[in-house]
Amino acid sequence: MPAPIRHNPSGRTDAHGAPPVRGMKRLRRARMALARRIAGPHAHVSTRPDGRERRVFFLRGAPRSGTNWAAALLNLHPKVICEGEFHLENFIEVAQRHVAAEHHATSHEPARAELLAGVEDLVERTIRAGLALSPGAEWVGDRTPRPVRELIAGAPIIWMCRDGRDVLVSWMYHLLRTNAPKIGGAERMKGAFGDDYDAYKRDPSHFNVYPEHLLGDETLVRELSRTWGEHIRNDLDALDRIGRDAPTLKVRYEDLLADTEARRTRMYELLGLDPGEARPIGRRDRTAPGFDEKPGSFYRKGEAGDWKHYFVNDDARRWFAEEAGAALVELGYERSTDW
Amino acid sequence: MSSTLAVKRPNDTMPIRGLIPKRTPAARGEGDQCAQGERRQVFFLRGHPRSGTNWAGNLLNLHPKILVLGEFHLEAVSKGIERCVSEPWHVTHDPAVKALIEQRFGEMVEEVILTQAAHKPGATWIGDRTPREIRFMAPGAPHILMMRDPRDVLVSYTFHQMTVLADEIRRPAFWEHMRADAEAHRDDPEHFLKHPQRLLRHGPWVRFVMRCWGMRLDEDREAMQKAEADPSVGSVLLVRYEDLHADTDRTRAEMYRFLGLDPSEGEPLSPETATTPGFAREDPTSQQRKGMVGDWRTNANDNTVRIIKEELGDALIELGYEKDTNW
Repeated sequence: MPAPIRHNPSGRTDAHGAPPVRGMKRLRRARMALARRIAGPHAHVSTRPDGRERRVFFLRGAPRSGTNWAAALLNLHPKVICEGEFHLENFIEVAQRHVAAEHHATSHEPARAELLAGVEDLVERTIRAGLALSPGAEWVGDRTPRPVRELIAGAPIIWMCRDGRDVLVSWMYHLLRTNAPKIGGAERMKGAFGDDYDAYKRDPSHFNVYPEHLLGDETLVRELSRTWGEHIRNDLDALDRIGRDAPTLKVRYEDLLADTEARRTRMYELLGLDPGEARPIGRRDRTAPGFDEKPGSFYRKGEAGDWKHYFVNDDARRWFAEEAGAALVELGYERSTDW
Repeated sequence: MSSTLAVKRPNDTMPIRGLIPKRTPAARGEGDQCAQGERRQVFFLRGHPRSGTNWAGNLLNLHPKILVLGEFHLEAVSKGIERCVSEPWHVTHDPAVKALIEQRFGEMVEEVILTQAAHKPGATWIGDRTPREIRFMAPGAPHILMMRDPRDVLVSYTFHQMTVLADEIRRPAFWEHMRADAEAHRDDPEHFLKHPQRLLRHGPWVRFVMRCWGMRLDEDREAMQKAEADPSVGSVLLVRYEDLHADTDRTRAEMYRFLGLDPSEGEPLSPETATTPGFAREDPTSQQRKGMVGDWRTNANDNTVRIIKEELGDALIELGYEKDTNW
């Protein structure tokens, strides 16, 4: 059983450990200002005919960390709707940066206030439109696999994490399946995997036979490992910050696998809901732990510790450890980077 | 010329210069009201940096019913909205949610720009001057697009980058080769007056600026086609810097009329309002450095000319800046 998640501040100056950047304080203030402004409508996005409020929460985590599964579990409760990705950060963050840029007209009043109010209204209307999909819900969840940010002050955050090595394996399969449109497409996949790419396309279980080939491309392994590590470092810092003003719950994928009922109960309780009202878990709606293995599917395997089958050579271990070993230790999955 | 820079000629009848279908003020939605009770509306002043958008803004501000200020840069938020609604798996891609977001964003853009109205209570047109490509953000709004000979843009843009040491010129690939001249320019503002051929001597920089200009031209051309096909998205008036220079009063009158205003109400040009063509004397470190037409010849060498021809030779002919590539 991994050690409890701990966050040990290391004296870094920002979420990524970078030295101070000019304007960061101003940006942080702008972020918090907008988050607070949005907090009003968030807490009372709209009122149902029976007078009860609808609220927003965020379900976050690095890609391939079980956010889809967690959303499915949350949706078993009749008062929750967590159907998909709003990606509100696309314009909230831009607006936050915008009002912080001194050479922009929108960094000065009254344009600044108008822009913030406009974004606030936009967020409210967007969430309200999303809520229309499920009139009975009291909580609407935004499940977006993006880093944790101060988007709506006070909104609860359920954060999923998973052993980065399992994430890496799952991510590799995902990229092979989807042809990695955002990081170079099929050409890059062919370049990284060589003959194994065609073999996988012919037979999605190819890497079960040649597991050592899945993590053979140093550039890709390092890139994904680094992305995961940076995501974790950002999220732990952000949760530490946001957790002072908003309810947050960190959920390990492995704990959810080990005791799904106990963990989903905690998720409902975070939202102030009665776990007794939730429907039972089941295979049909993909809420039961794990899957029958389907190597070519979005829901491939869902196992914990599957990485051991693929990290069979020292190179892959070293690449991962160098890029993301610290995050693995910080999350308590290992005691050191020597594993 | 690279295929990515191909200048798209929409059809034989589309004017390269002049008016794209006008949008009548009556077609616009309700806006704020000016001191005289007339409805306030927004417009956009656009163009590549160093194409005369500041000068055009000053000229527009001579009219009592126009206020144009900069720079709002709302295109950055617009791109965020686009990313938000673009992916099929986003909740925000749902047609109803997407339509709501886009409509509300358009309203927000107008509201933000109209916040400036208090600076000129009599103004009925409130404008955003941002030196960027056209991006239709407020449905139906007019856009004035400034265009200038890209070779003059290149000279002016390079001077500006050298003066403020902006991010682009400080990219390692350029900075390594241009740093010495940038520092010499900082220490002696007359450095490039004494050594004019040093300004554009780094070929990759010349190619970079010209390629970006060509890409911007393609984006603006596409926007103009879009406005021509569907005036409800907006309208575009193309204004050449050179025309403004040659006959400032006639060209500014065209801009006023584009907004449905009486040109005779505009205040006269004056050096105090920085509205007369060119500047009294060259100031190599000023935002308003020289303001000349055809000044690029002073700074270009054979290599510069070759690169520009490779990047924009056809475009210069199509836009009427050259008859052929023998220049």
